[in-house]
Amino acid sequence: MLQGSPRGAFFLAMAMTQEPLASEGMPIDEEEALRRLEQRDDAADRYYAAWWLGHERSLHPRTLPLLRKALQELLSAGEEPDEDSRTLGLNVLRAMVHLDSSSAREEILSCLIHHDSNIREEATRTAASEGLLESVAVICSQLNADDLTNDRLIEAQIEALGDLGDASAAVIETLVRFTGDLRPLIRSASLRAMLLLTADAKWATDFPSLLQSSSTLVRRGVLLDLGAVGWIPALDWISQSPTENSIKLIALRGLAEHPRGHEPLGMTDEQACQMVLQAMDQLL
Amino acid sequence: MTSGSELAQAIASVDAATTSAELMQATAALVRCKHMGAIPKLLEVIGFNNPALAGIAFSGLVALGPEAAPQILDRLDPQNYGARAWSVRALAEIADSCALDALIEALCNDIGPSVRRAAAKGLGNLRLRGTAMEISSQRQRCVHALNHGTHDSEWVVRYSCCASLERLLSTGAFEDQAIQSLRERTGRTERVKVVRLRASKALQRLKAG
Repeated sequence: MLQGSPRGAFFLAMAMTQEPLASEGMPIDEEEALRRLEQRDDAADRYYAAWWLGHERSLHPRTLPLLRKALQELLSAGEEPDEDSRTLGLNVLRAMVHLDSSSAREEILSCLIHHDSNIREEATRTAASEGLLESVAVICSQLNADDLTNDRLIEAQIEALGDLGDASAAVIETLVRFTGDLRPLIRSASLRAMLLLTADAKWATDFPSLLQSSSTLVRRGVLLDLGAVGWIPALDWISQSPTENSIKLIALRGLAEHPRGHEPLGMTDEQACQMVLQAMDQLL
Repeated sequence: MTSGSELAQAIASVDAATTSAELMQATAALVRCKHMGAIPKLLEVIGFNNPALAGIAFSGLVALGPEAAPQILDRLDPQNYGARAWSVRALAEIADSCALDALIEALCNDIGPSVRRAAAKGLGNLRLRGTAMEISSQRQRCVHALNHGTHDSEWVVRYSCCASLERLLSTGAFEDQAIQSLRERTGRTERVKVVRLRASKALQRLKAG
């Protein structure tokens, strides 16, 4: 199980914090979560249980089999599952990011080509966090298709290619096409993936201008991309960006935890890390 | 410090601003007044959910120094935790010990992680005042709250507590419980690597690894 990218983790965290109303005032334990996921009468209870098991990083031997079962139900419902199966499936895929879900490999790969684009998007993140290299070819072919209008899906797919670490010619060729994209978050995601796969500083040159975007949303996304790479030469860009410190700290966490690009600056891992911690202390 | 009429004019310019650029300019001018009467307006601007703008207002509050702290304390916005975070950061930076109770309360009970993070920073930074016994007791309260904060659900709050414990312990007597809290953050119970890194750095600097 990989940790997932900070940017992906951020958006996931946003999604995961939206606890359904069923949870209000009623803390539950693992047994109760498993019971709720297994029952079929109350869809909201199942939805909450899936979220809970991921959030709590459940290691119970029944957790994965029950989550897999929920995905199998979704997949057997065909192209247009009912809304309850669909939303449960989305939460199951999100939960799996936090778990060792290698036993659900087949289900995740099937969701990757689901008719529903939200399911494809979540499955892409789950496949990347699980390190499912079989998904690389599927994602490349989807990114090479004609219809590329779903920005969130494309970002998730591009990010996944970077996280999966396969730097083959086909992947690079697919990604390079997006490095000049006019949509800033898609351009940023592809530059992030290229930096992850090649560590070539030429893919970092656009980041300062991306960070000058007038859109707060874009600046946040770009910061999280730099954090996902751990790009040490970006330390000052991140620290000085006109964005809230919370996001800068998330980005800098990435630099401290997996520093990259510092060798040409003559720095050791340890020196790079200490420099980042110092910058983080200033932003608290 | 500028006169009352210049202050009134600067405040009116902030109110009259219609674009983000105008607002930034007017706020910077208000900051340059260096006047206690600017505090309510600076605190209002801090709540506009614009980080660059809030940064200007924040620096203005900090520049006013300890005299500004009581007004900031009185005006902590209970509805807007983004604004509260900036105010608490200003209190942390000003470092006047009158903020002690508010910072402890914020670290232990505020719903906003960014508020708790800033409160933790402040507790490592306060200039404590009084007799030796009073200072020691205030310091104990800071250490106690920070120890508690090292178990916060948010990594960034735990991180901030580690940084502040290092700061507090480097300027006075060691507290066994605080060293224990830092050691715990370097271990397997801490899921977030950067918190482990920060706690290790604190212990190394304190030569207590």
